[in-house]
Amino acid sequence: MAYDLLIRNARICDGSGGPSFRGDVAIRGSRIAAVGEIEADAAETIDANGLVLAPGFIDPHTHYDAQLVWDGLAQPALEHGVTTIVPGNCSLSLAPLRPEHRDLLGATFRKIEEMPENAFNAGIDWSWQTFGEYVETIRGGLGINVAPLVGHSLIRLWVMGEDARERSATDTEVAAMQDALRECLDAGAIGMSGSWVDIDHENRPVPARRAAWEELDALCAVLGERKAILQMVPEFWDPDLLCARIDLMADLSRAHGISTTFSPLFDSNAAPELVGIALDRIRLQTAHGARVVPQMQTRPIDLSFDLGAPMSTFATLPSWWAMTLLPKDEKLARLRDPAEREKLKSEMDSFMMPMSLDLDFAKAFIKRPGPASQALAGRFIGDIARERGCHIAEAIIDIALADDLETSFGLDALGHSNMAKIAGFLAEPLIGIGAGDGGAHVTNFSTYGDTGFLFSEYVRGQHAMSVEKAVQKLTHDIADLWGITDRGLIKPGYAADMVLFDPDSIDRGPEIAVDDLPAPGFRYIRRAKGVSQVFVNGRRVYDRDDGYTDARAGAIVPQAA
Amino acid sequence: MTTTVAIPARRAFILPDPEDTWESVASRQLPDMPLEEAVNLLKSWNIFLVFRPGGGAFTPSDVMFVAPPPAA
Repeated sequence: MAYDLLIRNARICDGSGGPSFRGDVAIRGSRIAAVGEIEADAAETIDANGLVLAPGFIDPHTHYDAQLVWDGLAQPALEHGVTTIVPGNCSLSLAPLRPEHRDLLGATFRKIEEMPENAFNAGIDWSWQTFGEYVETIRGGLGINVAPLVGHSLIRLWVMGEDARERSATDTEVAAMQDALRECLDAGAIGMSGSWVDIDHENRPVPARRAAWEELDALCAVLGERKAILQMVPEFWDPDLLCARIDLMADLSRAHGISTTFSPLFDSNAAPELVGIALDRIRLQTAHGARVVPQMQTRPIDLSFDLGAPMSTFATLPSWWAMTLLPKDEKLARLRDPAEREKLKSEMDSFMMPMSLDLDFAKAFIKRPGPASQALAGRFIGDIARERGCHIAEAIIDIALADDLETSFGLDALGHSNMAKIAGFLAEPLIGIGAGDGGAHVTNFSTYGDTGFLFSEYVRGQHAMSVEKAVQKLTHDIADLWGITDRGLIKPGYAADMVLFDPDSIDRGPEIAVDDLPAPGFRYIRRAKGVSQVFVNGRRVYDRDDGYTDARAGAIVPQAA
Repeated sequence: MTTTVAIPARRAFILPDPEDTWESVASRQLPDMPLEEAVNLLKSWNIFLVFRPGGGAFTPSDVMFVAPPPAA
């Protein structure tokens, strides 16, 4: 046989953004061997029946670092057509890490990425220290490609120990960090992530935020040696701060010849002019030779919260935040204490909106009722409080207490929900699609299905972009930014990462709770709609009718040197 | 900081030195103003640092504005 796999009669959207065309794609081994009208035989032939065949989608902002240790498929990313994921964002990877810092890093990761402690502890065996050892830990079970970032906070901890949380680095330590970064890049890291925003489980800045400019500049010099990327989290809610950060990233980009990207960039009623201001600044910096690409998510910001675990929803309500951090028995006592309840009520009457979100707890609804609140499912807290003649804070607390803190409350459309406006932003060439956060915030919102939503909302719903352009934004544009040279196009010689989907029905399914964590508990996910088959490095890894296959052909991207 | 192209900032800012305090930044950036007044002015331009969750201390990676917000 000339080929291992032949996909016939497809509408090929090759990732370039050019017009789609009817044709066949032949695969030999892990690579695309031919594209066009192909007469030769293959060991397996699939009739695409005119469905769209596109390069596999790339998700550039995820936190699957922990999940990949127990789930090499990164479910449900693959079934949404995502064939390459980038974990390690926001200054946080899980390596390199010395044994004495595992508790510290674990608590920080769980706090920022909102992962249940029991699941994290059950799933992570900490069998690695170096970045290369982490890569080897996950490599064997990968059904999806992984382009991992190394976190700046981890590099600081590796070199400076706990001093990384306290102070700037000496020249000797900066040089050691440069060497550590080189080792991580050699072991397969695609770049480095940092943060100007994140705080740890003790409300202290993450180690990366203790870095003086000279340290970040020196590390970017190493990225420049390898043409690797820098990912940052800026103060995305404030136009002046965001523009200052864009300027700083632009300086690093020009000085070291690197690409930079930041996430998130989102629209909100609280700062409706922000995206336009940021975009003007990016245009200016781009015109002066910098590459600074913001990542924007396709979906509106919907959150869930419960009182059983710490969560960022309460970031600007200090009494609520402190309460959620308590052990369960202390939390229950505080929620029942009349004086504490008064304090919580008062705080909910007047608080600063966190991160420009349009947060109104009266609009919270009972999303996942516990045993005592089944009859309240779907109802709004504001309505329940009125019926009970109580404050909305009391309604939340009393419902949670009756359910032994198991109630999950929903808050929809907190921002980024003006779909017509978002459509214009997503069509803008300087704005990348990303910031999805897959693998994180597992009980707070479902981060999956942004790819399907791009097609259902913006291609079919608003006609804001063509299928070809949407595919380009999910594939080639991301590969180009991230320096992934052999993925993101359907082209001979490229990796055979592909997704076959129905352009008339591809979408995200409803948010559902599943219990597939490595310890008791749940997470929210979305199943895919309209995705027929997904191929990773030439192997079919997902089929709509049969589910996931046994193929584990995922690779570390780029391959370790 | 590395600057390879001179583009005026939307709003003038600095990154504090690791050993900086409000007073040291104020005396450096607003040298013609009485120190207490300069510190208060500097803080008024950087309320997000003064009232940030977790205590109000700034780090060397923080943006600190040394000019008022641009006119709307």
